[in-house]
Amino acid sequence: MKYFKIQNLFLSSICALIGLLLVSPLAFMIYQSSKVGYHHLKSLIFRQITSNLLINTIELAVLVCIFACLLGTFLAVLVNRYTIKFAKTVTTLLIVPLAIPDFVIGYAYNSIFPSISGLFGAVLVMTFNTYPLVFLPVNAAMKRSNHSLGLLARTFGFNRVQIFFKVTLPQIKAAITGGSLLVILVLLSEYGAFEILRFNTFTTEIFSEYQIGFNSAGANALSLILVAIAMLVLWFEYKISRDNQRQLDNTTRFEETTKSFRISLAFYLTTIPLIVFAVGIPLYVIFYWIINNNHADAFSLPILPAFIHTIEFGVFAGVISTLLAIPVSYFAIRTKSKLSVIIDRSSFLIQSMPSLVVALSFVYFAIRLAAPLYQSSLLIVMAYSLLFFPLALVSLKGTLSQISPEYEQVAKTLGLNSVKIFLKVTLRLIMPGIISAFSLVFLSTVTELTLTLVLVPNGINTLATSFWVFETNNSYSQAAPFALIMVLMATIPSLTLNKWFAKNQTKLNNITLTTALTA
Amino acid sequence: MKDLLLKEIDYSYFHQNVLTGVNFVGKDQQITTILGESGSGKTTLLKIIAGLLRPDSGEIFLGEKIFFDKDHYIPCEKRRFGYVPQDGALFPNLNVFSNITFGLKKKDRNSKDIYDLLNKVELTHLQHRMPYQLSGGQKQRVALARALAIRPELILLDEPFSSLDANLRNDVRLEVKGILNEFNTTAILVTHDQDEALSVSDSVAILKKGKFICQNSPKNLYTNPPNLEVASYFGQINILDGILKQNIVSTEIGNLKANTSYISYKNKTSADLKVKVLIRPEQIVVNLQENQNRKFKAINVEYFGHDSLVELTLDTESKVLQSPLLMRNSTAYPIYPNDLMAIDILGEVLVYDE
Repeated sequence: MKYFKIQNLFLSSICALIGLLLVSPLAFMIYQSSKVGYHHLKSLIFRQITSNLLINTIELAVLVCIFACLLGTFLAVLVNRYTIKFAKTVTTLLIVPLAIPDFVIGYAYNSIFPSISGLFGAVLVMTFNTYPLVFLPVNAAMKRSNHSLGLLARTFGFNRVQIFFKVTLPQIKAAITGGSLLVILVLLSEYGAFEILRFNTFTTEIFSEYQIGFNSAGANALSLILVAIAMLVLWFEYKISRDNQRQLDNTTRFEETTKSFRISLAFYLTTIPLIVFAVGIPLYVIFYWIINNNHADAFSLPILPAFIHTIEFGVFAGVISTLLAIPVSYFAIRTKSKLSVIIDRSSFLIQSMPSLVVALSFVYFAIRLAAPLYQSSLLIVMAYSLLFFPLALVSLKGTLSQISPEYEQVAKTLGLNSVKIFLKVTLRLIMPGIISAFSLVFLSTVTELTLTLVLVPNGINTLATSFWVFETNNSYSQAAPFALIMVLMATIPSLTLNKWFAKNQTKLNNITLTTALTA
Repeated sequence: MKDLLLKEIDYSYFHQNVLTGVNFVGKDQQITTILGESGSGKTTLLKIIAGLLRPDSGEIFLGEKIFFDKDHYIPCEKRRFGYVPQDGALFPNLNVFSNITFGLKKKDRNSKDIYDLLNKVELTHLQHRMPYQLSGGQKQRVALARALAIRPELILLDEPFSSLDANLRNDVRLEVKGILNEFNTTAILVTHDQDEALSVSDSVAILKKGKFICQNSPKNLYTNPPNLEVASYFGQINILDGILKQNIVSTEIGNLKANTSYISYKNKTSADLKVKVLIRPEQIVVNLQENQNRKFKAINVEYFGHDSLVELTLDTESKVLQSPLLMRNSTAYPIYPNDLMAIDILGEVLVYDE
């Protein structure tokens, strides 16, 4: 008995500590808010600005969701039900907007067409950036859906529209809803694009209240509302993706698709303008500003130090997140206990916190409890590591759940102890998961703007902060090279995610994307 | 003699009893099969023997050595029992040689014994291949060799043939049996496949809902099952109602010579005893000499190539069989639906208390 308990105790203690770490930003934020006092907090929550921000958020969420759902669903249905030439290549291009940070798309449009701003600008930019979040899960759901039901419906005399609403839609409804909730999560945590487009949301308001003399009480109150909304959305997302997975029929099917000129035409008439607006124009604008650089020689810009700092932060955050995720994922997948479920779920808490709120909780933590850490590289790396921890966790859990525990059992019967089994068997088999966890955290750190702006040490610039400094000074041509490097560096995670979605349709849920994109 | 002995093993999972009071013997240098349906607890029992799961109570011995009782517990990695899981579980990142030598110390990896083992399991030419380059049968041989490489006193095989297709399964089964016999290893095999249990084992133990209901040699279990439940585990059977008078049982198909070994002692003395009669389909044969009394009619014929399974009924409207009689018929003398025939029952039929 002892033998079993000691091993479990060791692992569960480590995981419990990590769980506490994950809960700490939220706990600190709640503690910080509680210090204001109930009545003051109530007055800070129920003020005019809150209702204005709520209206803005709802308007934005409704409009972006409608457009993203229409585009994502329409394209996914066409790609899966019809034979369209070059559909695979176009599908890859369709998810490229995921690789372009929202604030870069915002900058691209606003720098060329300053009139694109406010709600219209926000809806436009965020639709271009978020429709892949609906397209990817719906595409996966379409691949799993039973095409023969549609064929059967045709024998009953149903037309294409009737088949879509009565047969196809019920099968992909959960994916559309799940995708929409992801879109809302991204909208809730986005800061840079809305600041550029002069559209007020919770994040922009929290940031400005924080900047105006560290108005922590006001910023905190708004953060509480934001986290509450995000938690609600995340809970719905979790419930839907879980129900969806329960209903999955994992049989791989080969579906015969039909050829239709009109459908192909409709597909290209939708995708070509979409790719042009979502990918082409932002890239064109970046190159336009690089070429028309009237201010200075591109080589005189502090690109190299910014690049090096970005890489440094990314590497450290990637290593720490992955190291933290290894025991937690192992504990969650291999040990089915109440504690493992609780610790696994605690990653939800960090996911529900937009990066700005995580950053602020770290600021308050440093100011109150660890002054030497304030404005230090260690603090920002810790914040990145916690923020992107769920991403590393999902990568590792995905890999580990596909590795049969029999490998470890066989190794045990061959006389290896637990440490040796972990080093010689488990670690080697989950190496792809470790690499992908590291890559995802690293590359998400590269494009993270909001948290970096709040926590970056004085005198240090990253690609994102350098871009931001030039952009806010309207020095678009100087911001462009930084934007280009970030776009290039972020292309890889989006392709990884796409590959994962294709490979592990049932294993991964949409949370991977959420975390990647809340950056 | 190093028999494996399990005494009163109990195991529960989340307050649900998986195994209750399990007693089991795996004879030294023999292959003992644990046969059971899905969920009967057979894999759990195998993992308990391996030390991968710890029972709630009971005792486990191999020969004189205690592996588990209330005061002792030898962990899995110290037992050194060979374990072959369902799909082989070859480490995908290691080649055949590294997989086989995985459980050995570095200095033992290039020993003569290992090359002998590779030869015996006919893997020498495949030793540098990666698992994905092997066929299903080759993978199973590697898994078996890996388990044998540590020179285990006991080898445990968890449905090792179930992931193979039907044609390959028979060949691999024979190969594995040959290898195990050659190494004189005590082996415990778990399966839900009755054919596998009959063809590979020296002894078969039937596990049902966490309890063994019987253990005997395959031949005895098939030809002389202690009850109808055990009989039903192995192939098709006919069960008829009968009245036993001394050694003759009268049934709806006629009077038959009865084997009363399993009639309880107190019932043996009673006259006109109601019994259940077991007739294997292969006990029924067509009587080609009898032309007058052809009272049975074929109503359905299921063709298997080497033989066919014929459903028979009585060709009269006045008398109907409780259920059609199943007969195995050699395809040398084909039977077609609606053919009429007389039948004979070979040997004695087993009768059981009702």
